[in-house]
Amino acid sequence: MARQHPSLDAIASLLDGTAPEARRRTVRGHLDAGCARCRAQADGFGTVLQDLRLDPLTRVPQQYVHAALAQLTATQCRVGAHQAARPGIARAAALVARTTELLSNGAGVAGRIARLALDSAAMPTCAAAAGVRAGGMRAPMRHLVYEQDEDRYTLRIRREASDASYEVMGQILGATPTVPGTPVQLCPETGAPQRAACSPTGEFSFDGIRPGRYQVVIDAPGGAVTLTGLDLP
Amino acid sequence: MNQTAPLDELIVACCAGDDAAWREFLARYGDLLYSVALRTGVSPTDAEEVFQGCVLAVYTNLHTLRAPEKLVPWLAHLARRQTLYYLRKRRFEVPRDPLAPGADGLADPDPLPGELLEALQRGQWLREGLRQLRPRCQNLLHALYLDDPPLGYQEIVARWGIPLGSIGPTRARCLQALREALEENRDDR
Repeated sequence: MARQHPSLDAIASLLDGTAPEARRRTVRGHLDAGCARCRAQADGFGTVLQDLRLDPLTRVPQQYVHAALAQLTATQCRVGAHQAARPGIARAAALVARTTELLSNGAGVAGRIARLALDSAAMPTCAAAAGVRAGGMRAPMRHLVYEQDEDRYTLRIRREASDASYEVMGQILGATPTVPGTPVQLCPETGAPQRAACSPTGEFSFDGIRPGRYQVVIDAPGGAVTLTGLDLP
Repeated sequence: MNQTAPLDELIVACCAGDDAAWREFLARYGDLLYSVALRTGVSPTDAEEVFQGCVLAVYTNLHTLRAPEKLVPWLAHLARRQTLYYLRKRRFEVPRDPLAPGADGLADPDPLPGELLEALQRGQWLREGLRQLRPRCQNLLHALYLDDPPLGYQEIVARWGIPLGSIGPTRARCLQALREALEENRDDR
């Protein structure tokens, strides 16, 4: 007589205690008769059910998650996405305060902080994304891309081998043509900023930059935009 | 960013402030943070505030994680410290701010008990296995085995429209799928 194997459902119901008495006897008898295939299935189910029962998996209410995400977004807007993820929110807040001070000493225009969308230094050495050819802090060229509304701002940083200073080259890729001569400042944590002006193609550059923490402030016609988190080790 | 994104890519994207990455991160690890807060002794009434604090602590410190494979214990320790800080503040003690600069370098005076950490890691492994299942399976297994109290078959029919006679076979297929997912993830534990 061909042996009939119980269904997966029958085995599961035996193990989780929901099987009616008749089914329980049938399945138990089949397993006790030594069916290796069904015994392996029962052991597998038994382990899973044991795990499910031992661990009361707490689930966070979704409204808490939504509130937390909203809080993160608000935090990003206040201190800049990239800077908030770097050591010390207090240091980030100080840089933002310095930016606000610089701007209010000038045209009194409130600054907008662009969001860091890509930093090749944070990517694996061999990563290639969005045209970035090199990754990691030791790569010949470091690329950063910032976004603010419909505008994008790119920075390319190259280390000079001769004197360990940096060249910072940037470009405004705006939805509207850049006004030639748009002022750009490279602001250190302390000390006077360096100044440059945009070319007709929206490009600007600074050279001989010493290691330190900087931000770039672009005095665009629509309002100043700040690119934060420029750490040059 | 989707739920199959590798962990190191997810972490890089979170450190860059990517909103979609943070949504995925909390989908994967939000339950773990919440679970640690409750197990450390915060009341359900205060759990929301503590959870927000834990998420902010992760946001501030994620860039200090040296090894992505250590993420689960790292999150558990961070959430526990944040929860204890909250509890001590509530009792008017003088706690050490876990978000203060340099706080990461200080020895943890309240280390996570080894048994609790093992349970949290096992729970996270189970959650990750469940997340790989189809939503119908996730709902059914939660209803039968994880919800307190578990749902009866009639309630399952009413809630998800699964025919009464199909619940048993569907349960078995879902358990099989979960077993396979957990085996696949076993090396990550």
